[in-house]
Amino acid sequence: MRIERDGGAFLSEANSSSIRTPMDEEAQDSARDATAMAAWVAGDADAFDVLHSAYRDRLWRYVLRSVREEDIAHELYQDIWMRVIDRRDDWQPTGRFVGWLFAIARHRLIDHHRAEGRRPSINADIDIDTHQESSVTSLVERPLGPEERAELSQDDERVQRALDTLPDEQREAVLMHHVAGLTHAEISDATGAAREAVKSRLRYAVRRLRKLLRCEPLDVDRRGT
Amino acid sequence: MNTSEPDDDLREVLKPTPASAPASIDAAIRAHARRALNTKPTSEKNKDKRSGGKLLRLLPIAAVVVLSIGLIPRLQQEPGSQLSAPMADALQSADEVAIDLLEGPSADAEESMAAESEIVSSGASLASSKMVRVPLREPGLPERQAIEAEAEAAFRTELSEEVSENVAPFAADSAPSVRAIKPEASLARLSESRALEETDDVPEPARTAAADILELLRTGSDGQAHAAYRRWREAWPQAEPVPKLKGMSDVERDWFERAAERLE
Repeated sequence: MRIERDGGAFLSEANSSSIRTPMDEEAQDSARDATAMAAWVAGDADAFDVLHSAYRDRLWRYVLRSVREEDIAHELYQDIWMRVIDRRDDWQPTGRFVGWLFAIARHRLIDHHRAEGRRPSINADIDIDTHQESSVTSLVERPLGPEERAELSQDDERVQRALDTLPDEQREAVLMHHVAGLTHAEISDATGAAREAVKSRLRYAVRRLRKLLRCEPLDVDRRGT
Repeated sequence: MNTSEPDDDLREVLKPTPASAPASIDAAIRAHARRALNTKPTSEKNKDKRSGGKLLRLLPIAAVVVLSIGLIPRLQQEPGSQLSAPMADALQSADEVAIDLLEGPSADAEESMAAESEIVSSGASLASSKMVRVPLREPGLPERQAIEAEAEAAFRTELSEEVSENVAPFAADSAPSVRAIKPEASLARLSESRALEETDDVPEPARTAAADILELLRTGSDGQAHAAYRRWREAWPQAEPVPKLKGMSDVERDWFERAAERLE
């Protein structure tokens, strides 16, 4: 058994050539992380690099989208990793490392938001019925097309405003899933919410985001923020 | 990652820029991780701090135990030493808990915690009591006099009652001591209620002598009382040796009887 140093999936020599399903991938990532953590705590300095390489970009995106400002994201991102390092003995091998990592990150961000005051929220005034269940996906809720994506990629402020309209729990789930790439189970580990609750939050959040992103740019100030 | 294809649009749109943290930050993080292997993790440091905190919390317990073992017996043996009520309660509580602790750890963790809390509380009460700093010394002269006076008064009262009730006032072969057998309290009661039972045939000298006897029983000497009795008998020889006095007690009757025997 070896640990890949590039942050890729941990693969044993025996199954490295087999076709990997998402479930296999998740399990293999978890096994890789557990092995790396155990090795690092035991004194293998390189083992930490495996973990860091696997999650640095995902964690960075999550932090940056959460706080928006790059300078603040730098500080929080580094602080989260420092906490992981200093609290390495608290990690339990029975849990997923990624869940533990993002739980630390989540708590750090909560502390930050508390210290700075709650982030702007305009969801109370948004004129979109996000809780209306419909068996038929309306046109506005369909995935964004290539042109829409290209347009929105150039208008990050609009994307950020749309995210800000989400309730905190939905926004957190979207950031973890669509920005950091966590699975429902990993989000459940990180937030303590049930897996079905995570799915539900994501379903409402996605529907709402697509509607918002297709609407005209939101006038946040007019809506009381 | 378990991502579904229909959500790729959002993943692309929500991807922030820059997509990665600066390399310098990542390098610093990795360097910190390597250095950390040579140091204790925070969790272990916290354990050390907790151990230190426990020692600090045990300090008042140790102080109270020392006080319980050393100070309480000393205070109890010091003549005239007095403890304030809060201090006495604190010391008593600390003493009991200290004994529990010395006898061994409790099997019940909650009980141990409660005992620890109690003894710390006792220590706090003890520390807040300024009586601890009162020097142990002999009582001053006024205090000593007050104590002695109180003790003497109590002793005299107890002795007088004992004598008046249980000791024969007149020894068989000795003259009765009026003052010894008639303490002030008893004499006062006697003089207030005493009078010769009125009879028409009692001569005036006898009445006077009887009145003198009553007065001398209260204030005079043994010799004066016997002289008065002798006068009473001479004044009224035909009378009974023992006068009839209102409310005469058995002790007084015995006195008259013995005095009469001596006189006869």
